[in-house]
Amino acid sequence: MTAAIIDTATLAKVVVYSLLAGVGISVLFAVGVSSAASVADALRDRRTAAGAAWVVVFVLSAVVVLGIVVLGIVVMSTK
Amino acid sequence: MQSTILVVLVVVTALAFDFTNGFHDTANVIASAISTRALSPRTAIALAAVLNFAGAFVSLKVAATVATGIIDPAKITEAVAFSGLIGAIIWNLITWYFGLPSSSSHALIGGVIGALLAAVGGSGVNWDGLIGKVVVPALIAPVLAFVVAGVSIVAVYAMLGRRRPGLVNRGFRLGQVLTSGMLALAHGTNDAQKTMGVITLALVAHGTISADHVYVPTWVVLCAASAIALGTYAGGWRIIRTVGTRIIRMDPAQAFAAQSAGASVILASSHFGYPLSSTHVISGAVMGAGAAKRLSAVRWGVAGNIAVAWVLTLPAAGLFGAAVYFLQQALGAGVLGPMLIWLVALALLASLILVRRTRFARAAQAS
Repeated sequence: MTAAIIDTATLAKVVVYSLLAGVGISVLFAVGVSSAASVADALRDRRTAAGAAWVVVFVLSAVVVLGIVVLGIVVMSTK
Repeated sequence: MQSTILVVLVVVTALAFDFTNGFHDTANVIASAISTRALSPRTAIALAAVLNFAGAFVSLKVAATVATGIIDPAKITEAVAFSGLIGAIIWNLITWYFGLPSSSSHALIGGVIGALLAAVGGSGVNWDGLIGKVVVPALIAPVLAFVVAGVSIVAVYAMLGRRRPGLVNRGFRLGQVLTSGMLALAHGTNDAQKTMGVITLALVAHGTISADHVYVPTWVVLCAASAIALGTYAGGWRIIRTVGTRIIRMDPAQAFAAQSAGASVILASSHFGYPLSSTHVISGAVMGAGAAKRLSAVRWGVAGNIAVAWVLTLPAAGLFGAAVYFLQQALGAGVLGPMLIWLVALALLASLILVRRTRFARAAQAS
């Protein structure tokens, strides 16, 4: 009776999508912040190659975070 | 002619409700960005207003749930829609005045159901839909937001624990511009649609839209988006204070985690048509981000007051909705009753805004 009223499959999707998007964005953004700090450290210590590598990580994390946001809006607006 | 006047009154009242919705709880979404100084209050509110407007155009699934999934659209009359709206507005204003971030969404659903129960009894309510699409998600959503925010901040602290706080805080403040925007967009997507749903119901009752082919007209979307955006811009300062600082004081990383968790839960729920309360979700996320760091950091007393407001909202708004319906019937079948009730509600709104503005001006002078 209760299972018939409550659409558990859809609610489970809400839980999974929320966890993936919410935790994913925070973790990826933290990667970006961490790599930005590493870029600053590397430049201060004159480690150019390491700095360049961290710049790549920073740019990648920023692109992925923005990509997730854009993807979310596109999925939402798909009627 | 009377029916047309009534439906116009319902549309105006629904848009007024949308305005109070923005006024009452939209600002919750940017409260944490203000408390961490990621954004100035005026910038945050302007951002929230613009993105609430945009969010209203993103999806219509929640509007469809409100219009067809919770109640029987064939049983709705203009008088029921009007009474439900006034009941919800009264409850919204009471909780707004006392600074309680209760749910505008549940007030609206409670008001309409209360008025419908008064009009036709339990046969007009789709109880399965109410439990499955409103009550259960209402219980799950704040807990889910709590967990998502908690897991997020634990992961973030694990990654950044040894970094210099200055740079980390600057980074997350910048990130909060994005998450504040996402949360505002999510709010516009979920909350503006509930008003669209009620206006659509009134149009069905009037015969403008067939009960067999319910859809949301574009002008309804545009009007609802404008009303919630204007309401957001016009107010929300009392609730900002409650959610932003009185539940917990957050650092920028916590605020970022809370906002991204809130936006994710609201957007995922909206995608599947669940009419959630953004207030419940963001309050749950704020508490989750706080509790993950230190349980005692959350001011559980304030959180308890908010929980009481949550529990009361559906029945209280329902009682007000039913009372307004009976009052309307007592005043006669014409448009005089609704007009009188509307004017009284308008006077109540104006006087409360006046009181608030006076207090705000006094507080500004004192500081």
